[in-house]
Amino acid sequence: MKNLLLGFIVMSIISCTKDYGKVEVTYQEATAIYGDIEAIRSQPLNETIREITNPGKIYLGNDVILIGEEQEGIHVIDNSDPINPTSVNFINIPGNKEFFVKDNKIYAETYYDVVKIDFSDIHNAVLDSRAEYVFQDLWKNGEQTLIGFSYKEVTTTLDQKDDFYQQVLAENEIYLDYAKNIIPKSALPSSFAGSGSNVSGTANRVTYTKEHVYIIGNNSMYIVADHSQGLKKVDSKTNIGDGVETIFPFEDNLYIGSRSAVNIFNISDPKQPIEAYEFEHATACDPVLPADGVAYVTLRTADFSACPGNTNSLLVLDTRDIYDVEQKKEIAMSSPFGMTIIGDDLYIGEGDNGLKIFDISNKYEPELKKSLDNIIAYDVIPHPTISNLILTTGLDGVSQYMINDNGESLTLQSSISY
Amino acid sequence: MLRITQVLLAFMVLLYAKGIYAQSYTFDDSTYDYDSSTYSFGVIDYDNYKYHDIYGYHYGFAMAIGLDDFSPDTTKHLAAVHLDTYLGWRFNKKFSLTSGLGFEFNESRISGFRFDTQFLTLHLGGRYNVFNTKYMPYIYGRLGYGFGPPQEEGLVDHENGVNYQAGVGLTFPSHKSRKYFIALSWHHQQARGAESFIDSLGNEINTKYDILINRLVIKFGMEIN
Repeated sequence: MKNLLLGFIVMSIISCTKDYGKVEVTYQEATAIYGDIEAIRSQPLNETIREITNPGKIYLGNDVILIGEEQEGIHVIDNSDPINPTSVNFINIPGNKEFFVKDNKIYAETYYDVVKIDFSDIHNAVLDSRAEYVFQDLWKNGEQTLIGFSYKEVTTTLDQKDDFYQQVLAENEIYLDYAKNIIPKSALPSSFAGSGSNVSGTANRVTYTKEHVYIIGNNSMYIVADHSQGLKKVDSKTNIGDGVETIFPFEDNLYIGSRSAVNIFNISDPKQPIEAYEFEHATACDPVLPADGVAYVTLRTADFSACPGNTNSLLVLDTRDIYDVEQKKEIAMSSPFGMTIIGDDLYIGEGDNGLKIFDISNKYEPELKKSLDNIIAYDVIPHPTISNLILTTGLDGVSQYMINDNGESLTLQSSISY
Repeated sequence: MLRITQVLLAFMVLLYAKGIYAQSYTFDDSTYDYDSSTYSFGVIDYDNYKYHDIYGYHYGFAMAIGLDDFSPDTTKHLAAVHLDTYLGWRFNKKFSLTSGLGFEFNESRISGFRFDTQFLTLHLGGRYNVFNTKYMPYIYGRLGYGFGPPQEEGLVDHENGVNYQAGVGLTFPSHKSRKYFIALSWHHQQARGAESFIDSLGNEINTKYDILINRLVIKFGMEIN
């Protein structure tokens, strides 16, 4: 009887320390997509033109505009007459999100592979070469080959007995591995692609330098050598920390932006990147724009977004010694996204909060020159050939603005809507 | 909400006023009256001049920690830290009422998600001394309302919620006006809010929780008359 009473008391105490209630969880449910990878690889490259429905990366050449259609390919737009840009081709690149353009060649990721596509003839792109299984070996589920995941927002209510998140972690190893290796969706709604010309976007996961393609996943960097015989995967896979988002080459270094740091990798040997310095910062989405002895880093956060936190700022880093990087200045911003340098001015797109222009004649002490609140700009680059023309990306398209009076005002020239 | 706050504050002011009045009050109880040169209110005296106060105004401070944090199974550790200050009135050798203000942090784990809750709590309580012995055992209960912190940008939004607490304790007599006590308490806090998680792969998971936090806490404190 005594033991029974003691047991009752112990059970009562234990039950009194459990929490009760429910949790409503909203998450992206991933469903595996299976397919025949060889059949995908042998699909025709050029397809009939189609509407832009889910734009991603944008590249502006001298007389051509490339607009990525997320997961599907790239729209080719003839811009030889800028007043009347015309869609002329659709390059079919299944699974593609990120690409880089150099000398009329597109370097793009596609599921397991990286492809090099020659679009010198904008009406008829040609597959130059393909490096297979760059990101991982083939995943099979029985006879089926995993080619990706589709995502659907799901809301479910759990009681205290559901061990939901632990089950997800325990039972979804394939998904978790896939998500680590694969190229994730960009944190920007739309942005300019990396480019071998003097105008390049700052929010990219693919870049090209020293005859090598560098691609960053969630926590790894993959390298593909661009030989005259074609693309060839470099076997070394470099771990670069979690939450990696952007890569930008400058001189002998790669500047990699992650949610908590800027990492500088020296690529004197392009096949063997060596980390030279890690500059830690507050957790945020952070494009990096290196220049001569300086790097500009934008930190962006927002409520209940992929970049949570309470930091929105521009960091100025002294990178004259890449082994001892020093923060020179931090400037409060509203919601900084992509940026570019035109002459002595630094242009920073603040999304719906406008476009800011800083005077960087003293590159370590940027001074706010102009705040143009009426321009929606998620990313910004100069026109490749017209010096006083800039392009911005918004949620609905790309706009071209003429720079007046040395940046005192901008005049809208044209827009491409999608 | 404002009404509850006003009532609690009014109650605290009343207790304080009553306490000032009690400083000059002589307790008339033939069994337990002790009119010292230092204290003019009622006490229970024990050997060696150690005593318990049994009448009038008092205030106190307490700190409590959750016993789950000491579980042998480290995966079940749940932190709970409560800090408390209160003002009270003793009606007689058995019964007293208190009104207080506290800060309470409770870690909670529901459905595999961990929520850190913080509340600024206003509460009303009652204590009953079971035996008027030298080491005086008591039972107590209190009812309160916890105010969640302002929304943190990007991550967390806690709402306010009712809390209640019940427990058993022991007050130690002393020569001085300071008395120490220890108590074992069951603490319950209603907690609602929203929290957004980003996992190591960068996936966003938004949650809305509606839970009752139940904690066994051990409380240490000091009362001053």
